[in-house]
Amino acid sequence: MPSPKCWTTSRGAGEASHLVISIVLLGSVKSVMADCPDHFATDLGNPHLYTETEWSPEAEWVTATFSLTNESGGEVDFTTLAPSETLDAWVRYPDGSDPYSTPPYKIPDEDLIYRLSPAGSSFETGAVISWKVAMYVMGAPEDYRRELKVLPTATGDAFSEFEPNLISSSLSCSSGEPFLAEITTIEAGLDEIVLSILAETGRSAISSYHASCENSAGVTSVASGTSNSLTLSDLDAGEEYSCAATATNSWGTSASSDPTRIYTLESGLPVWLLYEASTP
Amino acid sequence: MSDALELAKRALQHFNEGSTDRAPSQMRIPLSAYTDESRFQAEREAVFFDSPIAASLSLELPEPGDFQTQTIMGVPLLLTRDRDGTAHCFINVCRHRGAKVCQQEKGHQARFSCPYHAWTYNNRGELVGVYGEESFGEVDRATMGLTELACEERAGVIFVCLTPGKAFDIDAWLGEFADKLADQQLTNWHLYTERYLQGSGWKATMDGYLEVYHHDSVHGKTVGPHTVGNLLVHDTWGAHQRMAFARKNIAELNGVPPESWAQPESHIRVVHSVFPNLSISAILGGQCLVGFIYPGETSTTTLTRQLILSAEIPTTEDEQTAVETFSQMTLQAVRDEDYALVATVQGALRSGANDSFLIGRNEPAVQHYHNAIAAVYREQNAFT
Repeated sequence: MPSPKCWTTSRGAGEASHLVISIVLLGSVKSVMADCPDHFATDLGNPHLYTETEWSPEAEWVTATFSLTNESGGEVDFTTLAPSETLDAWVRYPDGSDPYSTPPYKIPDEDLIYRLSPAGSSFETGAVISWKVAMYVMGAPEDYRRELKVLPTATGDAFSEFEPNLISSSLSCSSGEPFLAEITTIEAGLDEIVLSILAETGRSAISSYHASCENSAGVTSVASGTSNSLTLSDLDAGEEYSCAATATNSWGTSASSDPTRIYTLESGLPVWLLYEASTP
Repeated sequence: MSDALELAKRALQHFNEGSTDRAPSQMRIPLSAYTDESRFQAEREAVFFDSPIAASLSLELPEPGDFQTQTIMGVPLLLTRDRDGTAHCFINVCRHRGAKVCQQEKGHQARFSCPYHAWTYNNRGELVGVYGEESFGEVDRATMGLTELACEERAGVIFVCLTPGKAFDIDAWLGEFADKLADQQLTNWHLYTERYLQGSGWKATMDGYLEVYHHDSVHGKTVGPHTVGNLLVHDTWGAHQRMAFARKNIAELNGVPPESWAQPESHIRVVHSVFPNLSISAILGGQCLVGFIYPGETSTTTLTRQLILSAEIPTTEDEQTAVETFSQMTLQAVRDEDYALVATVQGALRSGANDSFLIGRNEPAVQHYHNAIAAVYREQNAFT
């Protein structure tokens, strides 16, 4: 019997709460994102990952980043699977509906965007398995619970026989602003870093990108522009920087990308010269 | 009971406000959920055979060497406690020609000899003796022990999975509810008596265990006079539930600061419902009512193994009278009131009067139970 490690707990029926996440980003308070659950839990008989509170009706995309440990006692195999085959995502049926004949809403594969998945790999017992996936939740019927469950799937029956152990999760919601911002490529020079940023557009075209890099002393450099390639200049050579990026459209600004660490070069040619030297 | 103060506070607030814990909305359940035989069989398989169920209490096998036999949903079981104190559950069937190995209901012995051809097993299920093995031929004892079922013991309850070879994680299954069960200190109680009750269909029967809306009307002469009708304090942990009722004496707490409440538990009555089949209730004045409820072979029957526990072994005549009175009162409440009424529900399910039942917002535990059945069924059947 698959079983959960942690539990959805209710105290007094019908007292669902909403959590509002304010993202403090790049030194300023970003506009309030759509109300969003703060983490996954699991529930008995539903031994997989469950958003513990509902999201606001405005949310269109829920982005989940989570990691599990393989506790199946054997290998969990995703080697032959595509990313869309590593996860099923469901929205709960409405309160009070006949639970026997009202199915949960399965989010179709085309409404799932994967940035990270275990597809193509296998994992020994104890190994950490991670996903980062955005799920379009507006396809669910309007009266559904806005409560999300994800069900990891793998080749064989490892995940159906043994529960995975959730070790970390974070969730963010988008109601029109870009989402899934990430830094895709980095070039480091002596005193500058060039970042390429990828983000999903949301409900309107991305109008600007923003990046921020902070060194160990807490000194922050920022860059903004309409291009998804940003250059942060006047940095210190040989210094470690932690960089993060966002994208903005007319609906707002995305959640920040995961921070990326990068060292500027201690010596050598500046990036622009390297570029010119390598260009015929 | 560590949560008693908090539960009493919540119950008192409801009492003063004339309110109760409520589900977010009403729920309408089609009668086919009660009558569809193929659905019943599939749900019975998923909920009672593929998932852990409560089978016994630890106090029923208190010492190493104790054993108990039961037949649960057609599966003959032998529950033992070995010399290390570990509880085991075996299918009580000889591996030679399938006779029931142990015929007694309970007792204390380390070995079990099949009455058919005298094959002998120890209380860890190992085949330790083959009568006339020289003439029978060699037997691979390592593979011919009793068929063992996954068995775990937590918080005074012995859980099993009736499907051979199927394991479960009891800590995950119970989650934090295990702490609530442990607070009941079930191992400290004593078994006063045990009896079996025939009942109506599984869901109709269980519905009656999960709400207090009916207490005034059905139990006017038994438990009703002691509890406030239609007042429920409801909490869930996964599929498991806790229901607290207010006793009539809860009004005495008004005007008294909670920190001065000497025994908040004496003003409430708490029922722990361990999904899918165990109800522990009426821990009141030193007595406790426990019910193991199992679906029958069809959707129309259940079998309940009902236990009456006492906090102390009754030794004086007064103590004996007290526990016997409780035993008779609960028998009347469950068999003659609840089950008798549910029989009328069962009998009319196909009458055409209703095509669905409307479960009220004041019946959140009933809603939760049906949600949990559906969820477990979907889980076992990959959401089909």
